[in-house]
This record gives sequence, C-alpha cells and structure tokens, in this order.
Amino acid sequence: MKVFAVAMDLLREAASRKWFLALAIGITAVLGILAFALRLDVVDGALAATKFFGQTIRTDIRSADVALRPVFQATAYMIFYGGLVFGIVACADFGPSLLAPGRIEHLLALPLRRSELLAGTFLGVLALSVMGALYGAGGLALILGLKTGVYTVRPVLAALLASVTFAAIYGAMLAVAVVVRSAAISAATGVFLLVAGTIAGNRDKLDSFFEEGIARTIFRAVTLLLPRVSTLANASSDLAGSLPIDGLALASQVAGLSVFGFAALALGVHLFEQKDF
Amino acid sequence: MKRSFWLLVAVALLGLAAFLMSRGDKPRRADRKPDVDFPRYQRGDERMRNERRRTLPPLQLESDVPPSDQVVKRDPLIVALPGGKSKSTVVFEVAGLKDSPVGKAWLDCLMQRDGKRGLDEIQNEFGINPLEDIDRVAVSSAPLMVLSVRGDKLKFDRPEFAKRTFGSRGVIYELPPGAQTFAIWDDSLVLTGPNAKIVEEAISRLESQEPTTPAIPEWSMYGDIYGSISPEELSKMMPDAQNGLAEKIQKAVERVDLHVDASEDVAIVADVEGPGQEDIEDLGKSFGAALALARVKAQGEDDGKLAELLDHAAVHPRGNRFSLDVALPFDLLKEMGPCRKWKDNAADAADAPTP
Repeated sequence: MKVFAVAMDLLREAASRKWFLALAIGITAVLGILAFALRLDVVDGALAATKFFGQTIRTDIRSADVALRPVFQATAYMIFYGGLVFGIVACADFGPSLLAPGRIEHLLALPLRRSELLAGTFLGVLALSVMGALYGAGGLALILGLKTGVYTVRPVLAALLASVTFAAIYGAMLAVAVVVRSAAISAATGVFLLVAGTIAGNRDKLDSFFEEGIARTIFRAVTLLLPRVSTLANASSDLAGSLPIDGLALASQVAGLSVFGFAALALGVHLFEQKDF
Repeated sequence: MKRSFWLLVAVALLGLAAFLMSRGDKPRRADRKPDVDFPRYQRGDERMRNERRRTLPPLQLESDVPPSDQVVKRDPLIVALPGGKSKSTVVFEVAGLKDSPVGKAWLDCLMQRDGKRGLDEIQNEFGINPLEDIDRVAVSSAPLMVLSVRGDKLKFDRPEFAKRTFGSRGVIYELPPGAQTFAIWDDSLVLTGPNAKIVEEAISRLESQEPTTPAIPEWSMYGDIYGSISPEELSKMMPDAQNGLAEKIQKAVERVDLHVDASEDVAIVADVEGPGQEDIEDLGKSFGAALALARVKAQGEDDGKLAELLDHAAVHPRGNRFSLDVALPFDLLKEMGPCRKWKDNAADAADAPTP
C-alpha cells in the first residue's frame, strides 16, 4: 500500500507539470482532428474512399483493416519511439527530485522503506506511461472503429508494449539517478539505452559487421544484456497492423524486458540502501 | 549478506532477463510474405515472344503506301478466334503453365487419374508431345478451341476420319460427319468445335483479307493466362451467394480483360470496363466488399494463407473502368483443379461400406 501511496504522490506531481499537460493536449488535439476531419466511406467492410479535410487521399477499394494497416503501423511506431523519447525526457527529473536535499530527508523520516520509496516512484512513472498509451492508442482505435466498423484492440496492445519497454529503460534511469542525482545524466542513460536497445534488437544482423573472434563475442555478450527495443517496436507495429506475429518469441521478449526493468530497480534499491543522506 | 541482497537479486534478474530476451531473438518476418506478382503490363520477353508469333502475312489493303511489316503481321492463333464483345476468349500459355506450381499439380493429378492415357492418345494420333510441342491453347465461347503447335510436327492419319480440304491450307477431319470435327491448318494450328461450320469459319478468318477486330488486342497478350470474358459468362461464374453482384455485372459491364500470373501463388488482374461511370464505381465497391467479406471468412475459418493473400485484393477505380487484383493460394487452387470431382468420388468410394 505504501508503494501505491508513493506512486499516487508522483502522479499528483506529474499532473502539476506542464510537460504532461502538453502531452494530454497534444494527444487530444490529434484525436480531435482525426475525429472531425477524417471521413471514411466503408461498404461492407471495404474502405471505398478516404477524405481528409474534404480532400480525397486514396482511391483504392480494399478491406478496411488492410487499408488502415499502414496507419496503424505508423501510429504504433510513432507511439513507441515518440512515447519513449517523451517519457525519457519528461520523467528524467522524477528520480533526482525525489533525492533532492531536504525532500529525501523528509521522506526517509516517514515510516517507509527505501525499497518502497523507489518502487513507488517506478510504479508511478509506469502508470503514467500506461495511461498515456491507453489514451492515445485507445482513442485512435475507438475513432477509427466508429468510422469504419473495424474495432480492434491491437493498437492498444501495441502501445502497451511501448510501456513495457519504457519500464525497462526507466528502471535503469532511476538506478543511475540514485548514484548521480542528475536529471541530465538520467535522461542520457535513457537515450543511451534507447539507441543501444535498437542496436541490440538487430544483433543477429549486425554481428556480421564484427570480425569473427573476440570483437564479435564482445558485441554479442554486451547486447545479450540489453533490452531489445527495436524488436519490440517492430512487434508493436506488426501487432497494430494485424500482421502475424510469433507469440512465444514476443512473450519471451516482454517477460525479458519486464525482468530487466525489475533487475534495474533492484540495483537501484541496492545503491539507494548504501547511500547516507 | 543482508547488504548485498538487492544486488544479488539484480544480478539474478539480469541473467534471467538476458535468457528470456535471447529466447525471443528470432529473424523478423522471415519469408512470410507470399510472393505475388500481379500482371499489369507486357514485359519485354512477352513482347518479343508475341512478335515471333506474328507469322501470318499482313492484309493486302488497297493503299498506295505499304504498311510496316512489323506492325501488321498477325498472330494466326488470335486471327482464328472470333471477335466481338459478347464472346469470351481465353488463351493459356502451356509452356509457362506446365512449369508453374499449380500447372504441375494439375498435370500430376490428370496423369494419376488418366494414367497418362490422354497424353499418349494425343501423341499417337497427332505425333506431338502435348507437354513439349503445344505452345498455347485458346478457348472461345463461340464455341471453338485452337491449339498452336511448335514446328511442323503435326500429322494425323486415321482412315476412319473423313478428310477434306478447306481453304488453301486447311484440312478438316470428321468422324462420322457432324459428330467429331477438327481441322489442321498449315501444320501449326489444331482447331476444334462442335460442328464443321464453326471450324470452317475459323479457317476463313485465317485466310481472309478482310480486316477484323482481333479477339485479344496485341497489347493485352501477357501473363500465363489472358483474354477477355463476356459479362454474361462472368456473371455465370459468380457463386449463388453473389447473385446481386452477378446482376450488377450484367447491367454495368461491357468488357472484362483478364490476366493471370501463375509463377508462384496465382495472381489475377481483371480490368473491368463499362459505359456508365456511376454503375462501374458502384460495381467496384461491390467487388471490394465481396473480397473483404471473403477475407473475413477465411480468417474465421483459420485459413491463414488465403486470408494473407486476400490482403492483396484491391479494386483500383479509374473513371468508367476499374482494375481488380486478387491472389489465390496454390494450395486452394490445387484442390480446385480438374481432378476435384474425381478425388471426391474416390473418397466417397473409400468411405462406402464393403459388403
């Protein structure tokens, strides 16, 4: 319960920040434009015409879900990478501000374990990312469903994959913040993991660029430990586009990412408990 | 130990995460896209092939300036076919089809069913190997069937057939007169129809100097199967569940050009044209809806391959015509081949209780 109380406290803090207000307004604006400016002519499940602000933007007639596939896929990529970048930048300050002089002493005086404090912060940020993903992707799926009759939860599931990935990255950001208490370095850690995770997702293709032997072994060993960001991004796009996916491989990746996030959090708790304030 | 508890947890979880993530490392989208090549235009090799087939001399038109030989030489197989929008004409490129997956499957099934009897009969009677020597088979709803044969291998010498010449290069065979009729023209075409009149008309077209509209224009001769289908024939092909669509076809369509590529899964492009733009647009939407429903049905029946290929199905409207793209999986067409009824009967016979 104490963990949830810390998480709620973080959500209240987030609500007072302009970053998240801007995100909410941005998502609402995009959904509003789609709701009022997009006109889809659907005949028995086939998309016959599309008009955006009165201009015809496609003429081919095909199954509505197939025709909308590129829209869903592009949206999934946008939510995934856009959401990660936004989350890294906007949430980088939560860890350092938690540990700010004055505030941390006050928090440690409360009947709270250090692990609960850190886990609550982690949970709060995770809740923020899930809410953003559900609002954006859920709103899009609902609007397109109302306009075409094709209702699908796949874009929402795709957005939730982005949340899982962000959780893994944020766990590491939080652990770094415990050590250096810097929003900039925390954000840099997130960006590094985003880039390195994109590389790690393509490790099977990229390892041929390294000479066989020590270089390739080091590359494979390092990338083995990193979250496969690009793999999840591609899976998110495939899921949103109703393309066939390897469910077992995806489940394994999601489980791996979640465990990575908890591992980073556990490391953060360890470092937090070693610190004197 | 207590001080290192969370560190040990972190290390253990990191190891578990690495294990789980590496299990999920799989090649993405490995060759899962079906290979669909919609035939939309004449390729270079098809253009050259068509030029080689134009062996019929040009028409002797009354004009001072002789037209270019390249342009007006004609393809005898096409000239033999009757033109007109009310008739369906389809040409099968035997050479391409026999090497295609679906062609091979159908051929295997025919050989299994007939024990190669049909092919051997053709070889014995005409002196040709149907798989090697027949170049194309054209079928018209006139009704008329024309086979073009490579080289000068055609020979037919059965005394029970009544034989007579027709025109300058045609020989008509009948057994008995009126029952079975076919003709050999110039040792390169075999023409067969229900009666001698239809075959004679085909030979007359071949030897006539009157200009006529070809059944299939030169620019439309591409793909493994090509031709045109009359609105009446197309509406008859519609399943019972699509009666409304069949009526719309009869009402709105003037001409349907068909092109099929069978090199992998079978890709079909049908160019549908009609006099009224509104009716054609409406028909295009109806086709789009029918294909969308077929895809949903395939998904519901867990037919992943068909559903995935129907992803490619689309209608491209262009004024008073539209182009319809449909791809069908090899597995489905294999089962729909010429041996379907035979297989069904064989299965029924196997299921029947033995006395």
